[in-house]
Amino acid sequence: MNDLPKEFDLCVIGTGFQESVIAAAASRVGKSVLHIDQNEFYGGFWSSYNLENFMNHLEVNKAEETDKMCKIRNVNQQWYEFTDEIPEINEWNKEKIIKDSRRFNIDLIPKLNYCNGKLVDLLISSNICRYTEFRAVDKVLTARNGQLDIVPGSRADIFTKKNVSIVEKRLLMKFITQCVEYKADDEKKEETFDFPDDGKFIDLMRQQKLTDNLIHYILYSMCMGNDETTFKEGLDKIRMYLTSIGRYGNTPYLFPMFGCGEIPQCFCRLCAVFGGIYWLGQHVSDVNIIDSDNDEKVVKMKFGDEFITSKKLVCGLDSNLLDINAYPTSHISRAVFITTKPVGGSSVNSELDGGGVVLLYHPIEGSSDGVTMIQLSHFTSCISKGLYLVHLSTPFKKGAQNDLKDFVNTFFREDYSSDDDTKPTVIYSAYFEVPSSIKGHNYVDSQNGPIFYCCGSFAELDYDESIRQSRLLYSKMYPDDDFLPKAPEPEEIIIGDEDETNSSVNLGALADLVIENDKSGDNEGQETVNDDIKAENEHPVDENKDTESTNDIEKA
Amino acid sequence: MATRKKVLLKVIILGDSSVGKTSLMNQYVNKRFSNQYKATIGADFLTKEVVVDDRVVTMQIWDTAGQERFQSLGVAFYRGADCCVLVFDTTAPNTFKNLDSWRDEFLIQASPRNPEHFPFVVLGNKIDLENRSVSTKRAQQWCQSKNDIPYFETSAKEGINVDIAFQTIAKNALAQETEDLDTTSGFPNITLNADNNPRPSNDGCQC
Repeated sequence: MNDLPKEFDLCVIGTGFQESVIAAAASRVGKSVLHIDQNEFYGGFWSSYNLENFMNHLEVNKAEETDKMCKIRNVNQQWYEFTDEIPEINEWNKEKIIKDSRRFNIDLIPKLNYCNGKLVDLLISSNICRYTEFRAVDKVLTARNGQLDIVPGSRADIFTKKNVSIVEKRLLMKFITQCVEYKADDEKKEETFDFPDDGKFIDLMRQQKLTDNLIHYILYSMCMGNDETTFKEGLDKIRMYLTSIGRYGNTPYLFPMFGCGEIPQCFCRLCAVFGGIYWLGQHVSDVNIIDSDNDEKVVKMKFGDEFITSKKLVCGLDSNLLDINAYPTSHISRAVFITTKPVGGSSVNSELDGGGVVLLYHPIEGSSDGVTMIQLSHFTSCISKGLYLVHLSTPFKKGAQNDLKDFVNTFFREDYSSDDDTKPTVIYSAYFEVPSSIKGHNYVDSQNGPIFYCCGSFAELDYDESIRQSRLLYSKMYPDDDFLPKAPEPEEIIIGDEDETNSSVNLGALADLVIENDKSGDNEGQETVNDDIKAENEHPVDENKDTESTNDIEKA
Repeated sequence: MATRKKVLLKVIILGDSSVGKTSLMNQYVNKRFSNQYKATIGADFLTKEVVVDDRVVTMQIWDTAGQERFQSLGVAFYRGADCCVLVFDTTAPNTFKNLDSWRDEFLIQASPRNPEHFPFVVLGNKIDLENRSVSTKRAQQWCQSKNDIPYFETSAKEGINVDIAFQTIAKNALAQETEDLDTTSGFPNITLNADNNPRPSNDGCQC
């Protein structure tokens, strides 16, 4: 197939989050990587779609009863039925919205990031952050008895909040200070909290004489917790909240511009910059583990018309090589709505017509889970101006529609009433269930290669568990290699003649590789100078002699 | 007058493999050329400050990182481009023929608000080579048929026309960017970098 090398250190199938992180990390330290996806786009379950593609994708890719593959299931899409009496709502109808399809970026798995969380840290420490931009979440909402309220973010917010009394403000400040200063092994515990790790966080707050008002803000909103949340969980969450706030914005969260589908692509770009080869719309077949010449297990597989071998193979959740029955999987109940008004109406939307990104977490009564709502306006480049994109997520219990119905009935309406300012009418709705991995399950230990399987997403707000699993898998695969060390700045990479190599930055094993004229496709008889990969010097990092023979590396 | 959201111009370079995209960028920014370096390893994006109509703007020129080789450039690459540079090899007719599909691909993926007037610039590269096979006239005709795209014949190797081409690219990108102030929200987009360090944790109680 063209001039594609026949041997790789790593072949990755699927461009979801974890697959892309592994591919980038391996490429970064000099492994030769082939990264493919059966789709013509990046991201798989982690992709963002325009409206028409989103609607089609849900219908085409939903699971059949007999499916063994990981797929979306229980899809139900509906449009508001416009009539002659109500031909449009706030100047929008189905036709106009679909015409604007390309303005949409709809995530199957929407996520927010703590400004001080693992993804932000990883993007910065690896220098992948330069490939994307974010928007700070504009406001965090909470609901009590169906009434929406803005959660105070900054100190100023707290002190201007009318429904928090002076006494409460003092109590809150004291409690927050104690949370930040608390150290588990501190001998002077009496100055902060003396409380068992597995005690309930709500009991601690009551012990500290916090009012119901404050407990609501802290436990149900800042911690996204519930009455069962333990002291340790609650403390970790509140600290993450507090250390994240003010870093980039007035809330602790970030959302990627153009949707979360950008995130895997950032990792893929780094992989490509370090020499990883990308080929979308491809799959492999006839996958076999064989013994290589030097008695290593390698993976041989058919790619196009030819066979390639790879020392390791990594498969994503959506690759057809993974038998879902052998891989513990759960689901996330999801809904995607399009509305013409922000949730909550004018009482919580005084500025910016509802803001750019709004987060609302709402506990489900009698359950340890809650519903997470992320509402996006056009400021995120995920939807047309004047429309709102609403994402609802909760861990699967009985079915997406069932799991979300109380929340939906509280904050949205199916019919249209021009009098109702607070409940937006749902113009388009899609309910579905997207596969996810199970938090706490050990996915890595039992894997011994050379074929490895990636996790899917987790039912978490951010990417922390996904990143933790990626690190675990990577260190299992490459125990001696660094995980995404800082990539050099583009200016530091000098592309020069061979006598200037002293000034160039060592890009892992690829620094000294010189590729001559690789032409893809036929070129009307134009002569291809040389398809082989040549090295000026002996390979500085990779000591495996067999790669030399495969790539026809010559010494200069 | 509205405050500008940025004076950072994103320029992306498209075209078939080995037409000289990386070399052009490298010649323009670093004034270097390497005959040996052809496929894209380590080339990412380069930035250069340019003066356009007495204004200093930062031009960020994005290379394909080799992902064009098997038509696998993701949509993220195209996001927010202010100008698109289409490059072909004047000695390889196929690379010229493919300009159509690269232009279409850009318009689909980037979906600019005003596709008819989005600034493209076409560069016919490698004019230093003997075996030229795409005539100036043919290239100019194509450019004229696509809403008069500016056309330059360049040699990244000899540095011919590279500066003037990129000067035009910067100018057209800036014109595009001033038209497109529609999405500003008062809140600038956030680029993460190491300078935005988290506050020390003992300070975290300020709120």
